[in-house]
Amino acid sequence: MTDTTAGQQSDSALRDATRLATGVIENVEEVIVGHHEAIEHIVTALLGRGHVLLEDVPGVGKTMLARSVAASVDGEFKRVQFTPDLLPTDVTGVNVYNQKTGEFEFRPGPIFANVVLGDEINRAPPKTQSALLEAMEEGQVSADGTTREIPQPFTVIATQNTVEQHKAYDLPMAELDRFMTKLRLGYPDADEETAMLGAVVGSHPIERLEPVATLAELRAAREAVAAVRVEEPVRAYATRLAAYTREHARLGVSPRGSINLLRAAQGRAVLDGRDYVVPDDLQTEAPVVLPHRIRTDSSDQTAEELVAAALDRVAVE
Amino acid sequence: MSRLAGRLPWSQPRALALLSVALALGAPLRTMYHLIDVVGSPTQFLLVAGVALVLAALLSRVLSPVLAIVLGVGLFGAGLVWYVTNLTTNPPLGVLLADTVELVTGRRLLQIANVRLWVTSFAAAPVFMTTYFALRRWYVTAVFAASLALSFFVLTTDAGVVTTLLGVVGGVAAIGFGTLDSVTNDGGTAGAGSASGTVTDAADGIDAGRRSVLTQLAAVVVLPTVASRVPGVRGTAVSLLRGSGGTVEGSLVDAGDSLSVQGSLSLSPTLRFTVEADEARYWRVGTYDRYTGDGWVRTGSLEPYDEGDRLKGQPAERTREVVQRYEVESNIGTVPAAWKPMQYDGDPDVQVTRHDGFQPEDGLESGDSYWVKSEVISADESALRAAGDDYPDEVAGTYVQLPESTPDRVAETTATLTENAETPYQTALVVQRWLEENRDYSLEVSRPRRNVADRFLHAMTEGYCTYFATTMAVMLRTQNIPARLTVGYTTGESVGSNRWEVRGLHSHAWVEMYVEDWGWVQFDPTPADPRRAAEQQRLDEDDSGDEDEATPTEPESTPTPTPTPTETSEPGQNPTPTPTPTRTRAPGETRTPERTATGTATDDDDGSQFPELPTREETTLGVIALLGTAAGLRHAGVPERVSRGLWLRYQSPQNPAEDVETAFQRAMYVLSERHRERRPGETVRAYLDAVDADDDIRRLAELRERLRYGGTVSSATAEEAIAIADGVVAER
Repeated sequence: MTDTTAGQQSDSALRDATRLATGVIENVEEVIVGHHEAIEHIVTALLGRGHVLLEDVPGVGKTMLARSVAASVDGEFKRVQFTPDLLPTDVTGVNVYNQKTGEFEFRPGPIFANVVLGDEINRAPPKTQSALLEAMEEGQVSADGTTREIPQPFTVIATQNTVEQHKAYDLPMAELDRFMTKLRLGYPDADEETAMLGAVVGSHPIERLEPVATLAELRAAREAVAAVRVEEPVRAYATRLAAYTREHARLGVSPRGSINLLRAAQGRAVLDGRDYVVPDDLQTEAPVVLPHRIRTDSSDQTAEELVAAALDRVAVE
Repeated sequence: MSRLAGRLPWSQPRALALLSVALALGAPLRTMYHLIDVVGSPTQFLLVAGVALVLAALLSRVLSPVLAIVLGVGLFGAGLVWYVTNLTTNPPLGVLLADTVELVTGRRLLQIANVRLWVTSFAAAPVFMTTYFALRRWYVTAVFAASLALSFFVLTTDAGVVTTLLGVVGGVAAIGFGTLDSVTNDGGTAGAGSASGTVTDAADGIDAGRRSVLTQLAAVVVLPTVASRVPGVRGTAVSLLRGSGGTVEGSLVDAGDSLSVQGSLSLSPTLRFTVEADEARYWRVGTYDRYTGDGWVRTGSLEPYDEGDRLKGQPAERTREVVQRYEVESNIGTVPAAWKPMQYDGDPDVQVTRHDGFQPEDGLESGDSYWVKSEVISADESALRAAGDDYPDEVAGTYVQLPESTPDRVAETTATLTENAETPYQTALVVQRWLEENRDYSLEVSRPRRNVADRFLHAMTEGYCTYFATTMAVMLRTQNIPARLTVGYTTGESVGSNRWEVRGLHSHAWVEMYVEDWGWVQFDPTPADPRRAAEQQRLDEDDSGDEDEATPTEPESTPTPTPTPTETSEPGQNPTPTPTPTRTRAPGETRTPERTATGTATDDDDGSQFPELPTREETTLGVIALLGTAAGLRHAGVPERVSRGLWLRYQSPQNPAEDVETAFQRAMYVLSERHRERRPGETVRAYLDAVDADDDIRRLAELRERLRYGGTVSSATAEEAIAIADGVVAER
């Protein structure tokens, strides 16, 4: 977790990080019309060293959004289309026998990239899913007894669609927990949709999208975010929020969930140009960071409603 | 404070309720005690009350309420039978009933001849009933029994205002705390000791209840006091303030059956009657035989008088007749006559008191006239001086009574003063002379709270006739000499031969002493010259004023022309034995008075220069009022409001971090007053947006945010924060 005693970082590092974040957001918005909040959340997660799950019906631009974010960073981008017959090694990579050298050599899978887009992740069998999720959590891949580091920065943006549930393998809670944020895009409103249609009928703008940040800049920004101060009142507030969900749901927010909340809040603070987290940051991030970690007791209250209730009732101090 | 009190046993509702019942019962008991005290030793009464108390305590667990009521009524009946059978006279039932009716319509119990027997007979029942029901937790019934007794004494006007108020407060408190006790008792039966932690809510409720009872009590105490300040209520029964400022005449002659010693008084110049008589006398209207400590009461009832009847004369062998003819000039309620009146004839019908004085059945109106023949003792002084102390039983039994509470020093001082006097008459002369010489005449006095005679003898330096006469009568009684306080008018202004005009300002009080074998002889201990001077001054004042208001019905106007300021013909009390300071040389009068005067009077520890301490009752009421007011204030949140107001207005720098936080909280308080409070789940930013806060408050919030969440603060930001907060508070 963040070391709050790390001391003041230089103002310039914070300013650079903020500029990078806003740059990425503006760049993505060249392509994506509307969904401003979702874009902010994704960038926040990107800065907070998290992974993002986009969940919605097909065709609302999940993939396009993920691609735009990836294209905005000058790093390696890989895309994996998850299908029922996809094998774990198709994701992580495989040892191949080299006839010239007479040795097995590792051929890295698509996960060895800076930004990985996992499309329709819920269509793959659990074994393949778990291979991806392990890599997300550990930042490394183990194949045939050898552990291989995935290059940093490493961010997975996965999508899953909510139709055709019967043909899908729902992600288990333990694995959902590994995503920092889970977003729903929703349909754009009428004006935005009209604008979007106008933008894409010719050549799609994504083809013209240029990176606005180098990998080094992204790494520096991530360091700046990690150095954002999280003082005791904020940590206590996060703890109280988690405790509230545990008291009011069958399964509440885990400590990992709280960590992710604070990290997302750090990203949010940088986006706002601050070097400390305020409760408002937590309130902004909680609706996308917490719900997918919660199982409510009854069908009367969804996890989203529970989080809203927690934000309403838990005292800010 | 109350939380701490909650743990002390005496603050438990039951203890408080019992205490209040004790207070409620204490009021009638105190009144009874006072009644007994006036006429003698209270031992018997205390014994009866104590036995009733113990009996009730013992029976409260075993006896059923119905039986207890039967027993209580039985006690009352037994008391009634005891009283009637022990009366020396054997009055018919009708008279007893009529007496009772008179009692509840304002006749004082003190006027009953055998008040001691009466009180002792009736003390048991209320004590038993109240104690029994209080111990059985039937607080309302207990208070009912106690207040029934108190109500009776209120109706007879024997219970003082303060005592009554204490009783009422006790009753209200008993019912209030009793209800609380019942609640806790029901709730906590399982726990008995109620020591478990689960009763905190209940305890808080009790605490609140206790406070609310206290508040109501304070209202009971404070409201009448406030009301008594309201014009028109002042001086009535509700008033706790001592009445003062009447006239001497009103306090003496119009006092009726009981006379209480007043504070400062004025003189009324209204012309009352004109009298034509054979010789100048004091025109006497009545006498009082029972001294209560703060006043006098006339016991006994009135007998009818048939016109022309000759009353029983005094034992004196040598008497002379004095015939007087009175013309009433303005309405009076008395029949003035020289002592000792024997025969009466006139327009208004009269009755005879137990003390051989005439009382009109109704008042006398202007224009009425009557005729009285009196018998005046013609004795030479040596005969009176020689008289012994063998008094008839009915005289000795009635006229030497003193309250048990009379301080012993009254008797001691008197004994020292009159050490060398050999006979009662000599004693009286010494006392009279001592008072005349050692106390000044003044109408401006503050009424003493306790025994008037004791205070006048030992602490006060001046007073008017009531003080002189009361003190002399009491002093004589301490020496077992029958004496009584007599009121009436002095001779008045001489207008022509053997004709006097008597005004309100001539009203006076003096002493009558019983001399063996002779009868009642008058003494006037009031210094005559200062009194006459005061009367003359009053007349002059009035004379120089409005002369137009010469209507006879207007009581305060004087239609008389300049009166001749001569009272030279006033003979004092007895023409023959007038004891004047110069002439009287009582045996052994040398130097003793002076010694005692310095030895006793000036060494007196509670001298008059110090304000008198409030009595126990007043202190109790004051404490109740204070507690209740405090509880009420706390209930209304006044202390919190005051401390918050101070906190809001005055912030003194401590350290930067605290300063910023305090400044922020002050501003937030102002915002919460102006708009609404911040909801718990609402962040400061969201709140400021919601209430559309000003930029300076946002700036303050940012400073505080940086301190709280960013960990940075400096003394400069602290100063800025305080300045902003001050501005916000000032704008409020």
